[in-house]
Amino acid sequence: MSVLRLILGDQLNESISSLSDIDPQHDLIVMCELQEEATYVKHHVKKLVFVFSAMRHFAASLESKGYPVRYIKWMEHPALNTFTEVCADVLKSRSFSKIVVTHPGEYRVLKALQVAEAALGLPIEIRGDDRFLCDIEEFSNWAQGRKQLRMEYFYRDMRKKYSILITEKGKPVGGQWNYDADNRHPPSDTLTIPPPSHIEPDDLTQTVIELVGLNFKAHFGSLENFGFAVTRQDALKVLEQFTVERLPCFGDYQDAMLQGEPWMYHAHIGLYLNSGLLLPQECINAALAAYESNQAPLNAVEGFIRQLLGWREYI
Amino acid sequence: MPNYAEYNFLNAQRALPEYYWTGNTQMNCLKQCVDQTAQTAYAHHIQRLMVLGNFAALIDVHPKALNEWFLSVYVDAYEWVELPNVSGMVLFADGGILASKPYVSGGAYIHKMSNYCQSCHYRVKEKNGPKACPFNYLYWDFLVRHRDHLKDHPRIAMMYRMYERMSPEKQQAISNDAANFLEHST
Ligand code: SF4
Repeated sequence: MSVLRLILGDQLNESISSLSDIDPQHDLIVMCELQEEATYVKHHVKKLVFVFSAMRHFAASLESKGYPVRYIKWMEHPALNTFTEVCADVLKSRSFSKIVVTHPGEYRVLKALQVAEAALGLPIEIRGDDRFLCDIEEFSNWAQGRKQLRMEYFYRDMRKKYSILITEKGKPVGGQWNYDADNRHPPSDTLTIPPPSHIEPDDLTQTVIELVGLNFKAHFGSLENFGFAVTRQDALKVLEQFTVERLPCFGDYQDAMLQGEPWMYHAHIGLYLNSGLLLPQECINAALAAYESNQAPLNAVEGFIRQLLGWREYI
Repeated sequence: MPNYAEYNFLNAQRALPEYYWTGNTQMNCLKQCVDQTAQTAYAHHIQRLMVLGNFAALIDVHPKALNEWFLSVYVDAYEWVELPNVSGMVLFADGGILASKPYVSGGAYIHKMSNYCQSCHYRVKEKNGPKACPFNYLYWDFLVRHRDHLKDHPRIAMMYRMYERMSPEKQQAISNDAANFLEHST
């Protein structure tokens, strides 16, 4: 029987677990721009543009591949403000055996889903999020019995587990786990920092910029010069540009700050990882490839992987 | 992490200063980081941790207020990323589950890692008085205020010994400058 598959705004990847067994003939994908989600804090207007536009592009690409999608745009149906209301509306015209969703990152959303399950009387199957390299169960096993959690040890265990920069003898490549000592160069005025990736907004993004400009006047930040990627394809280009142009110096100047240089040698891919457009493993692989072909030094590659494995996975 | 948001180990109660939204401050490092954030919805980890986070920790901003700010202003911010970073690393609100000590520092670190101080109204080398970099005296005042919570920490104990060796006049100047600054900071 048909399954309703709910995709949240930070789950924009076709490999997401909620889609793994989709039947395009009978199932329906539901995505929505909820008022509650967009306004529970006064999100930066560029963040709203990014999230809405990336969601809309993702929905369009699913449709172009033959998946049926019901997409509810911001304020398109002012009465549909919660997951419960949206699902109830979908259920009016069709019946489903269950709702499938990948585990939300936010506790608030998990709560909202539990409310929806009770209100709709329809089972909601919450699936694990396998985008992470370390799943929740594995992490709790690791954390058990440790009073304090230290990222460094977690990071080393993950490096070993995935054989990332590990020699055949099981030692870290280069002999050290950590090259932070090489990564604390103060900035110098003579650095030539490459301009950041700038993706020109397409018509769809332009529409969203106007929508956000009109409806979120009280929110923080400037809408000008929006240049983030909003599709997986463009996010991959940003990753590629980073590994070629910035990664080689990333390590040395990782901690440095220069007035008027917001981007420095950083990757600026956190938004793509956190929304699902990019997966952590492919970013790690891109950095490893740069190291193996001598395009980036070890301290840069190790530092970048540490941010991905340590920071992202750990928390 | 349903309960993590409630942690407030250091009992920080201050509201977030208005200049985290407007950039309207004479502290150049903060102004640059806030203005950049408003423009781009981005700042890198040292700007977040050692400028914006550090300063908020030094003046005891309430974890809820700072979490909400980080969550709002950064394009990559989702609660599951921000909460452990902000409460755990920046504010030490969990009392040491995630970080071994609070990430606080005086102006010297910012001076070393940036060129912000060159065009600042304040002087990073001055420790006290109206032109002194506020990070400097606020750092000591923070340690003094939270002595009960932090004094036994091995990596901080050394700082308390340094403080004890200061003259009483110097200690008084730190306390006066900090009180004066905090009274006028909104
Ligand atoms: S002098 Fe102090 S307030 Fe001014 S930029 Fe330097 S660290 Fe910031």
